[in-house]
Amino acid sequence: MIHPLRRAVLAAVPFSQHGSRMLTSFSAVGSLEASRDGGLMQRMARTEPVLHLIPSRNIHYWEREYKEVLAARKKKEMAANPERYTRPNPRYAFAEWNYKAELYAFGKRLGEEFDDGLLREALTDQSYIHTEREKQEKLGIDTSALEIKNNQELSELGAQVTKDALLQFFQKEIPQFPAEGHNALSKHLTSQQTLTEIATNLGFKDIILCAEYPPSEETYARSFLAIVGALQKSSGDERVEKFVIDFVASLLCGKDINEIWDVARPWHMMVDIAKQKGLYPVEPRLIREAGRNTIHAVYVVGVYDKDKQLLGKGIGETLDIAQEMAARDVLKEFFKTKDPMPPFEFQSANFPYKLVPHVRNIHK
Amino acid sequence: MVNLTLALFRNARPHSLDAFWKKRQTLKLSSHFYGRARNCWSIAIRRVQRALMYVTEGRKLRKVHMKDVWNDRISAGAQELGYLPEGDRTLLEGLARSNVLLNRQTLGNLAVMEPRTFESLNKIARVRANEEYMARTLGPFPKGVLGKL
Amino acid sequence: MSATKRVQQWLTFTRQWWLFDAKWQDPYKSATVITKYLKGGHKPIFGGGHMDCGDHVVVINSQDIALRGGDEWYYRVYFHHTGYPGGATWTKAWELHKIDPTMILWKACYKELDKNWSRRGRMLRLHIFKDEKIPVDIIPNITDQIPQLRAVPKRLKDYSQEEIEKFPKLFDFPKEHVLD
Repeated sequence: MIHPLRRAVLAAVPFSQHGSRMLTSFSAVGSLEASRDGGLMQRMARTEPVLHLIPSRNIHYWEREYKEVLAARKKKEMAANPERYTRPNPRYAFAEWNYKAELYAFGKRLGEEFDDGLLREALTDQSYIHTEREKQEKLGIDTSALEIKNNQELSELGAQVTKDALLQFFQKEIPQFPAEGHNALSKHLTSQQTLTEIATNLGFKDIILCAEYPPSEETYARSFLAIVGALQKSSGDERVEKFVIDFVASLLCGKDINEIWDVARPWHMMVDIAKQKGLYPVEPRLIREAGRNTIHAVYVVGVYDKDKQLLGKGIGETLDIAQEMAARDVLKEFFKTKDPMPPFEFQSANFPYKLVPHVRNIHK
Repeated sequence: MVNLTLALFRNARPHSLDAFWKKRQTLKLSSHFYGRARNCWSIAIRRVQRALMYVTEGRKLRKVHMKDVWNDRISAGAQELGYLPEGDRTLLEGLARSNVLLNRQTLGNLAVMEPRTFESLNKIARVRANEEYMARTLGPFPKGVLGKL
Repeated sequence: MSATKRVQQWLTFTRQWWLFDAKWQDPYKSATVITKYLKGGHKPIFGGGHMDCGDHVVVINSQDIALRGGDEWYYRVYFHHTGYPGGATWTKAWELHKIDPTMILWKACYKELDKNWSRRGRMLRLHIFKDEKIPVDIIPNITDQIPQLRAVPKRLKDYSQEEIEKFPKLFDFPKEHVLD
């Protein structure tokens, strides 16, 4: 909870003095509040441009009457124009939003060297160009000279680069895992949902130029891939591989890769591989069971190879499920992805600040 | 009733003389109650005071209860494995003599969450027990573990 | 939840079925062991009694239980009151055992369990049979057996004549010695 006076102080400090994204959002809130108060607080606070943040969880008792007034005023205002409070409030709609500065800072935050034009192109969606053109035509400006490139081309390049880098990474880390599995993992990591997660965490929300706000999953995914493409054009293959491993592949942490790739017919696949390895004929056998005649029945099935050695075992509430789970267990054994699995090696040799990826260029 | 923590101390002596804020202090403590004891002042204050008395007792009982739970888990885990017929006493003694300084809480958690680690600890204790003749000679490790499904 | 985690959960919280042979066992000492399994206290996931992780126990040969030495069958008394004036009854253990040979063990387990709402549910998982005849639908459920508290002693009449004759003797009784 920021004291209202402090908020006004924040609003009074110009953007260039904040230098960080979090504080700018505070200042945004402050400026709104101040403008609703008629700017009185803002004018008062101009005499003392000092930055203080004193967080507190509770309501201070001396604020009670003040808050009652504010609440009543807000209620009245919301009743008067409700659409103003339900509509999302984009950061770029504020007057002091400096897109060029934000773009530069964004590139630096990622810890990479971008070509300015390419970075801007990567974050420009087709829908933005369309609306810009419409706007200008409405004003009677000739739009034939308007040349803005959208990020479609870069995103196609980025998708290819990302896929290649990921497959290379999987080939190094889990070589026993079949190519089909590598593709499934790559597909999972480059799905719209995953890329949206990455992009929102990297602060793409306000910096993407597009018609809708907040951007759709599709836009997030396309913009992120375009950033990868832009990096490939700006800094080359080596940097882009590290970028992909840092930001995309690292999302595999804490996930079970055997679950991401859903084997359709595990028993058949297991038998095929066992034949190649010379373990055939394999045989499923019931090892343990409990409560056969109850709804809580459980079976444990083991799979034995031709030398009667246990390859793996599975659990299930029916014999079929137990046998299938046993086959999955044997497959994990074949692929060397059985739990507990050693962690992935995400870090490369020239990675000075191992736990903080975004500061690695600062001390060079 | 001893007001040891800050929340309780405030309950004893509110910081404001304003009746609204004085009651807020108490109603915060009754916010998880069921029914009118949550919001109605005259019921809430009585229930809060009784609850604080239970809390004073519960602080001691919780420690006793948790120790019981850890002991149950350790002995159950050890008996399930069957490496140490005497159960948890041999396990704790064997680990202490092997310089494995894990307390009951950690061992109890390992028995539930990390069965493989717990099994290894049982093996260590068993080897030590055999070496130092702590229990009767245990012989080789049992092969199939029967009780565990 | 993934398939592997789901079946792991299923196995962790599944109910096992245990067999306990009550032949020549003290019902009260057996009850402490049986109720441990009914509560689930033999599992590491047991968390102080509020966890519903208890197992089923099938007890056989309850008619052959052994009460403690001396004449416990005569001095152990089970009290019951109908609720009406003069409705109190005191039944001796041997009488109760005659009426229902599973009752003493059932009461012992019931008394041993914690006095709370889960007691009835736990008792439903206890299946007591007076002899070795178990219903056919229960037999395949059984997973394992709880070891007896003490070995069943072999009586003299259980030995064959050959074994008795083979047994090393220090002396023979004279022929005119009368063994009653």
